Amino acid sequence: MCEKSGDRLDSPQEVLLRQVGPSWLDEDGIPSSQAFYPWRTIDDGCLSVDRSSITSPETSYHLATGEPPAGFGLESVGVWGLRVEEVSALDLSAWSDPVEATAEKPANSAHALVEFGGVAQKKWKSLGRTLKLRALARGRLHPLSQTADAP
Amino acid sequence: MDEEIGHFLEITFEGGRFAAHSAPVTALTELGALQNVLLLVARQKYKDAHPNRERVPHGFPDAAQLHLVAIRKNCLTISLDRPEAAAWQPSLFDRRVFEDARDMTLDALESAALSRALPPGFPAAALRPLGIIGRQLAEDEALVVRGTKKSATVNQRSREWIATMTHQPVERDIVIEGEVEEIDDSTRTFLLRAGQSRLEVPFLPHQRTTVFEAIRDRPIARVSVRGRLVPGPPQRMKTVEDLELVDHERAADVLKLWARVSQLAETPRGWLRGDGEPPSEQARAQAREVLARLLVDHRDIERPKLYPTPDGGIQAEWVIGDWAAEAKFSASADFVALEATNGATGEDRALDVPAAQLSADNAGPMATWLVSLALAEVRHV
Repeated sequence: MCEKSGDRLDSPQEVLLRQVGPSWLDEDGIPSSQAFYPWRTIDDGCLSVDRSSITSPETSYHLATGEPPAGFGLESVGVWGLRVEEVSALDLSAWSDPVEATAEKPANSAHALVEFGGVAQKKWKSLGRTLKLRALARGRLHPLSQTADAP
Repeated sequence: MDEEIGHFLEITFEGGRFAAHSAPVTALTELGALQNVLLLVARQKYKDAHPNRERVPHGFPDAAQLHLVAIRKNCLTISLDRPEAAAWQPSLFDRRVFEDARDMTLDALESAALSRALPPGFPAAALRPLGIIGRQLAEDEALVVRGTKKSATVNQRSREWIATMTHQPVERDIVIEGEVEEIDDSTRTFLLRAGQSRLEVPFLPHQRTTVFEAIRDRPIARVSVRGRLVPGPPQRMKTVEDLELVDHERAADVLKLWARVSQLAETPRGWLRGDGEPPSEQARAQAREVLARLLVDHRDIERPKLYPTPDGGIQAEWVIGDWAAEAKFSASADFVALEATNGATGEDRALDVPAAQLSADNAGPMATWLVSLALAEVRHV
């Protein structure tokens, strides 16, 4: 289980915005399922996302990729989205987890976490595959691709 | 000229390549083969009619020639007549020699079609040339040869009968495309894999570079071979007239896949926020070989998306209807893990395939597994 600083999200329609790094995006613009479940050694069982009720895909993207301390300096090639209800349907939970600003990093009030810790780790890859299908159905939210729908 | 068909002979090319009312010009060599038999039979007939002559008259071969005088599109029918201005003009009596030769040849061809003995008196010298007629035909093609009162059908079955009777192999002129699987430089032959069959093919010194390029760039480089096939087992080409490199129809897909594998080789250590091994050389080689074979042998399977895995492997991913499917090539390349999840039903499927069962020559287990997902998708719909 990872530490969360906020409450469980209960608005089923809210979209959770997920940044995808360049290694997990194919040249045709398709993300890997690996982008949708935590990596066992560094993610502490949680998937980092932003809340669409507080930020937009574009703002989320710029905050993630911006140079510190204005941004988090992450490598992202796009934002994909998962609804809270899609996460809950897989027995996962989504939690608000706003972060405070530090000397090196900005604040992110939209930050949230998808908790995988309640499910056996051997099931995570399967969940990642299902979440990838959900995200693909919605399309990339930023930068907008021709097939993307609004969240 | 004959009354019923209006010409000395009519030949209809039926089936296969001729269904669209045209014929490749190479198929027209059949006319020459037929003419050759007619000449040999006519020569015998002439000698039978003139037992005191030791030789045929000057100009006899010219008089036996066939001239193409008309073509009709039904598959494709060619009308042939004997020349009106040959050096030797036969008498009315001797003209019968050619008509008798035609009828005897048609009798021989029809006997073969019906698996019966050849007509008595058919010249021994014409037996081997008779077996050459139809050498250009594919399995689904036939020649229908019509004279005034007789007709005969030539196909590969009738040719096999003639071959049995004359103790000769049924040679066929074919064009075949496939992969060069092995090369024996000492005997200047290579093993051509075409579908499920393999045949030995000779090559000439000037074709050596082409053959070696084909094996270097397999499975996307193939060779197209035009030559004479001797059926087996083992099947082999007796002679090769032409040999050229051709791209497999999925060459573009495979090249894109290989480019992606090469790109993954550049993945730096620590690529996942300080964690993450670059894909191992073994994983890259295995993914490159097995996935190329998969695409080449199974044209309905889409090119997968490729990604590094943090532990030094490569993951190939497909979306097949409601299924998200993956093949993970482990860093040690000792097995390939196949896993899939159905996004609609939540069903999971998994299969570990030992490395020994997948290679540059065989992606069968992976293909079978992927196809089973597609079939499950169809049943679900």
